[in-house]
Amino acid sequence: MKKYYLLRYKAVLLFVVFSLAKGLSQEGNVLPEEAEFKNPVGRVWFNTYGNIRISKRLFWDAQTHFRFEETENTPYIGQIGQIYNRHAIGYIYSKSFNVSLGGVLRINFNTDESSEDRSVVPEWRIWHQYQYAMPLGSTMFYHRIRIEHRWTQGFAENSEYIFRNRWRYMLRAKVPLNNYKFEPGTFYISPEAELIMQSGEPVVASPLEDLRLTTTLGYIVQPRLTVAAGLMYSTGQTLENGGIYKQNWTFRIHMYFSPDFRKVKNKLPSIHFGD
Amino acid sequence: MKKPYGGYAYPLLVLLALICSTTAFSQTQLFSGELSAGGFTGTAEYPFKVVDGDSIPEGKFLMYKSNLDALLKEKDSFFSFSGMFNNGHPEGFWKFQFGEFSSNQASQVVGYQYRVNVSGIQHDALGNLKEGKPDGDWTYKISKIENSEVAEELFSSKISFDRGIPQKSFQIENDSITLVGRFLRDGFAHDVWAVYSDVSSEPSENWYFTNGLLERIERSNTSGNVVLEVFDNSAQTYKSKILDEGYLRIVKWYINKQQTELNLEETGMYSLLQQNSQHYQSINTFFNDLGKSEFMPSFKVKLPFYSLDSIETSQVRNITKAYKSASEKSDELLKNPQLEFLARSNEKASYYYTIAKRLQDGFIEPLGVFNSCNDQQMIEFLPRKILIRQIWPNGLPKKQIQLSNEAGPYTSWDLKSSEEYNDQPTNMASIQKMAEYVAKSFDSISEGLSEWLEKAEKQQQFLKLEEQLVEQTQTLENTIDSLQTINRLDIKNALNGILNTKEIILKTYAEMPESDEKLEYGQNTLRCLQNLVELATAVGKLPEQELIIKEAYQDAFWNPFTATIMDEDIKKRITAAHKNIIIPYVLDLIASPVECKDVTQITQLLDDIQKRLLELRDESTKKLERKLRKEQDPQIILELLGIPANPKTAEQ
Repeated sequence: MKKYYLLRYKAVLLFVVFSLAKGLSQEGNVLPEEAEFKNPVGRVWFNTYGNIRISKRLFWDAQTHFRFEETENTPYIGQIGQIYNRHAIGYIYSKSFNVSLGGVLRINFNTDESSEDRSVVPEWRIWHQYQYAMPLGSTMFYHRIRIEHRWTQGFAENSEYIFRNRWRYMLRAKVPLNNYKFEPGTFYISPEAELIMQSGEPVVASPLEDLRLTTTLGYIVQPRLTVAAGLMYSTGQTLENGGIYKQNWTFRIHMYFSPDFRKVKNKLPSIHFGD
Repeated sequence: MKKPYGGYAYPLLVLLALICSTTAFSQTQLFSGELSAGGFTGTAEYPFKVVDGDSIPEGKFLMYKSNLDALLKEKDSFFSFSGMFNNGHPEGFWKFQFGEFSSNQASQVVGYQYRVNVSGIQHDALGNLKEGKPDGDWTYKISKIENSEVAEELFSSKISFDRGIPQKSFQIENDSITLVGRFLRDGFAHDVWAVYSDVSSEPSENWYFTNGLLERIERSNTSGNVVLEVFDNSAQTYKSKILDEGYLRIVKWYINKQQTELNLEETGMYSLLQQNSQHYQSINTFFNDLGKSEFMPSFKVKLPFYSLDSIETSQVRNITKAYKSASEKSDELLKNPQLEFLARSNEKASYYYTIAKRLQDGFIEPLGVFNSCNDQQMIEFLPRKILIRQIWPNGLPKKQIQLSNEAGPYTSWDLKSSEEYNDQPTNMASIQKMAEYVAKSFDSISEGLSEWLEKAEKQQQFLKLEEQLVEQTQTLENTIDSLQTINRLDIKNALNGILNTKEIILKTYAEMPESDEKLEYGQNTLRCLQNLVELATAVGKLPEQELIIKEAYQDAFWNPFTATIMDEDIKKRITAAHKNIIIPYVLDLIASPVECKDVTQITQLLDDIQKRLLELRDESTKKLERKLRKEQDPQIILELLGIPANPKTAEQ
């Protein structure tokens, strides 16, 4: 028991020393005795996912998300929180494995109605992703590792960019409900769990940025068009204080599209890759 | 024969020909490959030269075939031929072996070899040739083989030749009898040709020849010896002939003069000579397919010869001509069931029918015997008077045919306009007159019955046509019945349209008065019904064809969000135009209902649409798809797709 207190003391001391030395906004933030959970915030995300084939092995990953966040004055749908542009060039190694590399420009809107600060600030990221799909019967499982190098800044005037790395792993399943395989007309259910860790100088005691638990119901409208909607619960440490956890309930609506503007004859050899 | 420079060997031979053209033209080349000759097909190896586009074998020849697999499975037809060619003629020693073997599948290893016992039949022929003609001793043997040993000799012939002419003595035997005979140096049969049976040492049949002339035949049977005189020396001239079936027929005629019951074909001599001739013929066919040869043995004989002078030749020609004309008409009338029925109810028809029968029995049948002697080229070898007496022992039949003694219109037959022949002696001239009289009589009978015959023929045609119409209608209805299971309204409507077309044409046919036009319309109706069956079948195939198109216009693609392969429809504007506009349009045309004259065109249109759609799958169609975007007019769409217009679609 003594040892525990000692360790705890050391951690608090280290945190304080660190905070003093840096003189950052964490100054004075003390870990609470017990984890504190903020009230859940309701959010609505409208996400589009484009996957545009540009050659036999390459595609352009184009995602645009509109993320709304409820505030005191705007319950339910809320007001726009972020507009999120994620782009990358992907390489299809095989039917079950592909990698992507690209950038993100996220426009962050200040949803704090009482804030006097700037209302819009940009956020920049470089990201790369490794996705592996594996079938199990008619169900598909997907492992996704996504690494992001992220530059963010606060809404305050002249605030500096801070740099962080994000380490993300997601396990997702897609289970067809009314079919034995995925084809137009198929409904599927997709449970997923994603753990987002972060690191970097500003990250002192809050490596767990987000844990997202989602279930989505999807429908394949056409081979190249799928729609889905689901509910996500997420929680994670706040950057300011690792003892304080934010919580969100997010209603997510997705549209997936994958056009291929290449000529039919050019598409033909690419179907089965190396099979 | 399969030319050695044909097929896969052709390019090689062209190359060889080019090389040859710069050197000696007649330079020999080697053929090695599959060859067919004389009904045998197998591997052949031989040199040849090309002269004036013909390949001429030259040098050592080998051709063979055997198949161990086939032998072990069931049976194998094998052969092996070897010899030499000189300038296209078979020359020198030749050996033929062929037959069919089966095996009991039991094998034995003897001295590093697998040994399999075989059973079957083997033919062996060997001997020398000079300039394509057999020369020296030739033997032909057929053996029955059991467990790789000769169990029985089924046939054997040994003949000596001098450049194709049989020499000295020869022997031909089968499993029960042996024929021994001899020839003079010039190839004429001479002395006694004797047939021995296994049961006695005495000959069972002797043919006595003197310088090729068969003077008599002696046969011994259970009832004793029979001596048959054949040819004598009384004739003024004699002619040589090959001993063939024609000769044997003449011998038979001479014998049957004396012994009508004797059947020469059943004698041992006849059957052995015939068998021998067939075996030599098979080798002769083989040689002739490859090059030039005269392998058939010329057994020469002499016959009394009664040549026809120019008048007689013309008489024989006229008799034959008149006989053929009369015989044809006689068959036509007497084998007409309508006439037979008509004869029962109509006095005049009955009269003609009876006369025709009398003419057939009394005139045409004997003329037929004379005619067959002529056809078989026997006339000049038979004593004419005797032949005529044999055919017409009581003289020629009377010109006037009396049916009853009463006076009346239908009691007798006589063509007054024809020349009388009964008052003349029976000779070629009177036979010619009689033959012409019969021919004219049949012309007259046909004319007298023509009205009935035509009517009967037409009735027959209607009967046959209506039978076919009923049958074809049934086929059409059955076809459509079997297609009613297709659960699509547009197809059901089209099939009903076809049934309507059928109803309309059959009703029109039924309501027409009996006439030539009706017959013609009926024949068109029959064709239309046949075409409607094809159209109905084509309509019935539509769902299956649409499925083929749907599958053809699908492309498998990798869905990045599921990481699975999905099928997607491509060129949707084309498939939509096909499915939503063209096919409904054509089905409407059929349901409208379709007219007979358009049926084949619409069937063809369906076929063209299917073919074109499948072609378009792989063509560049960007422009076409743009044009199809707003187009709803089926004819313009057909034009855009490049489907040939047809009158029906054009007129719509």
